[in-house]
Amino acid sequence: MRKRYSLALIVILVVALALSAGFSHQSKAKAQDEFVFGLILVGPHDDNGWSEAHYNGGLYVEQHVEGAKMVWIDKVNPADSPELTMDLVVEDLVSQGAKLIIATSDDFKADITAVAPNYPDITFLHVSGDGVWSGEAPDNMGNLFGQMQYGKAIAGCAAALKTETGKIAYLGPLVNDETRLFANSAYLGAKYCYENYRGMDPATLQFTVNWIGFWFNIPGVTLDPTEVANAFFNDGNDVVLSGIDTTEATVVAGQRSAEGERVFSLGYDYVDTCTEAPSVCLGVPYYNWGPSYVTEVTAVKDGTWTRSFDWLEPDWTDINNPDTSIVGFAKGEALSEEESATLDTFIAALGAGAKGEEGGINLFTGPINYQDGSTYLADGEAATPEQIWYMPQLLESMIGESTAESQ
Amino acid sequence: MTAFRKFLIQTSSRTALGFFPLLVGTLVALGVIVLILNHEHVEPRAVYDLIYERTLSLPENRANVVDFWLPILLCCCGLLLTFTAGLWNIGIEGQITMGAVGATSIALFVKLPHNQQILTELFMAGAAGGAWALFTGIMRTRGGVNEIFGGVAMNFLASNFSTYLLVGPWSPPNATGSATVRFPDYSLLPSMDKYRLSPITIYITLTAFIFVLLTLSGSRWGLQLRAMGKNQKSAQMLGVPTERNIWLAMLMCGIMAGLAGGHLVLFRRSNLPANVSGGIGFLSLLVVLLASVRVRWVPIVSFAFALLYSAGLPLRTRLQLDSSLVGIFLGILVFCVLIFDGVRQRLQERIEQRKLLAASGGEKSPPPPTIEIQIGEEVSSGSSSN
Repeated sequence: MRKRYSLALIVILVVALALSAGFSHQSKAKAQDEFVFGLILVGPHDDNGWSEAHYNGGLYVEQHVEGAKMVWIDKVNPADSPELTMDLVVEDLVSQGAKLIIATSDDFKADITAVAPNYPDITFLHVSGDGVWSGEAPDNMGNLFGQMQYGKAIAGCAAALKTETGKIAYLGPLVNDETRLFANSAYLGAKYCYENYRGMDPATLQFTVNWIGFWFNIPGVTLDPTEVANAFFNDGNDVVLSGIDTTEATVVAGQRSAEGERVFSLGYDYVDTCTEAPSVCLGVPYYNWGPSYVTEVTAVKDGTWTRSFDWLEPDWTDINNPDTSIVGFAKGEALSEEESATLDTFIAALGAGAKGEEGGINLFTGPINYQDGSTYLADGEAATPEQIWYMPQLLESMIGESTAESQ
Repeated sequence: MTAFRKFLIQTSSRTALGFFPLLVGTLVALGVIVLILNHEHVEPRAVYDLIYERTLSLPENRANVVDFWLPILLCCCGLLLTFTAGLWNIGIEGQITMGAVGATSIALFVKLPHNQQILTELFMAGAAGGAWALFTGIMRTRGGVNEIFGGVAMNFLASNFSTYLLVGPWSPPNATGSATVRFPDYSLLPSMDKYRLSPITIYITLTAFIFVLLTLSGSRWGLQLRAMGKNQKSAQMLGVPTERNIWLAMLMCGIMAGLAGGHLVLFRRSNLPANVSGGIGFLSLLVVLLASVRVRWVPIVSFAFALLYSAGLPLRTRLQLDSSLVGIFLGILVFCVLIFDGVRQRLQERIEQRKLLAASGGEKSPPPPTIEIQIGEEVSSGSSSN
């Protein structure tokens, strides 16, 4: 028996020596002007959705900031990486030299807020979160986000221009302030266009929201977005807007269209989402993180970074300019020329409204009520940024659950 | 031939045979892993370097590995009891989950003086895990439900119950997410000053291991469990209280698994996330299988698993390997070792046959009984016994 243990010890020593032999080859010299930034992604970096948009933003930084080098990890979520904690992830990225760490999911909020103070010399950026506004963010952590309520309103408008049944559905992720805002924005855009461009009675517009429980499908934990999308179409909705990080709504619409149904979808997050099923895709409101990441990386690199919540508008001169606009809208093939022109009119009016110009539209102007009938905005009252971000309910006439408790 | 030389030959042949599956299985697994790495365009040497650098080279990295190791070892300790008794406690994932839920129920909603708080949380973790396992044991003895099927059902139930709590009553205020809010500091297990390690979990794991070691190596109860593992009906006929022992073994295993779940939420995560067990229970099952239910091997094998598991993060961030590959590597390792353990059994049968043939002067004799990895006994065969 002793012999066996001796042999075991020898085996372990040999393996340890073999492993340690390579260790001396470590410590490669780094370029003096190299600036390493870390990216923590909640989903796969090639998901055709939220995480890929961030990953591409990181690549954009590498192309536009001299010496910038991205280190990244994807699938940081309980289903794909149950063994990971934010402490371990941050420690690993810092050990690779990261001076700026961008945590790219609202789901990371509590963890990144807890970990950031342990690294006072590292700058953290949380996308999306409101820690700076709520006072929870430590001094070395800021927030960055795009004003996607405009993109969602445009998507809602496109849906309203296309629907024949008057029934539009929204495939929601989990429930929080951000996701309620986007569902509400899509509804307001749909309602406006249904009434003003199609001349329909907005009371006949049915807008249904169903939340799957997370940003993407986690078998056994969330509702299956494919099933939810199918259920929407089965219920007579002919347009489904996606609010989740992945492309199930577009894929399902494509499948059902191939079987002869007249159904359409709108994607979310990533500029090329429509490639999943171009013929049914009305468009996609997307994020273009590159330019804003360049600003943040440059500020940290130059030592001029200060803590803030940068909630950035689209570049209204051209919302699809890849070098200036954080939010864009890529039109899909399923949009007719007439609908496309109407949508351009709507986008221009939104831009004018954002700039306070005459004839512009501000969708967040009262009277607007919450789902329970209570007043959100009084007649003529324009919402402040905080009123837009923090909406505790869906809006009046929307169908769906407003809060987690009621799920 | 001198007696010493004879002893050396006998010992080395027995040792070589005993180590055959581990060595050859590991080598074959390494070969397959190298092929996969080549397919991924990753230099195997870079992987070895990285694993060493990020797991063993620095004290804080070693501490991280130990933090991975402790809950796995704790679960393995419990599984040693159930496996020795011939029980496949597949439900250990659910017991970890329920332990985490039990600890969370105190951490989120109760505020006591710190020591009492920690004690109550750990008690609830152990109690919830233990109760979950005991129920599976009762279903086995009273309901006639095999513990494998009962365990699978209880895993499913625990997972869904935990999910319900996360999206329902325990969800963050006015929102849903993949985890509860973070626990307040007074609810968390204290950490060492320099390293991210919980002394309480170290004590608990050490105690559990010594308890299992002593129980299985020299106690009356350990002997009873072994007898049950060999043949439960025979053991019962010889007066072993099998029902009570099944309940006890399951209960003890559940308590240890529940405490492991408590560690995950009270120390590693600081909240209750979805999928809290994260496969640790199944990993522990593989460890105990790989160690052929040998108590003394379990810490080594589980440490090796923890090391590889914790190497997954740097492999992902530095070599961009997919997150699932580490799990695949571990699976290949276990698979290869088990395959070659089967080969070892065949070889052993032949050796025994030749010995019998030689002893009987060339007359043919009936083959010896098939030797397998015996769940239910610490020793898999005479020639490879400790």
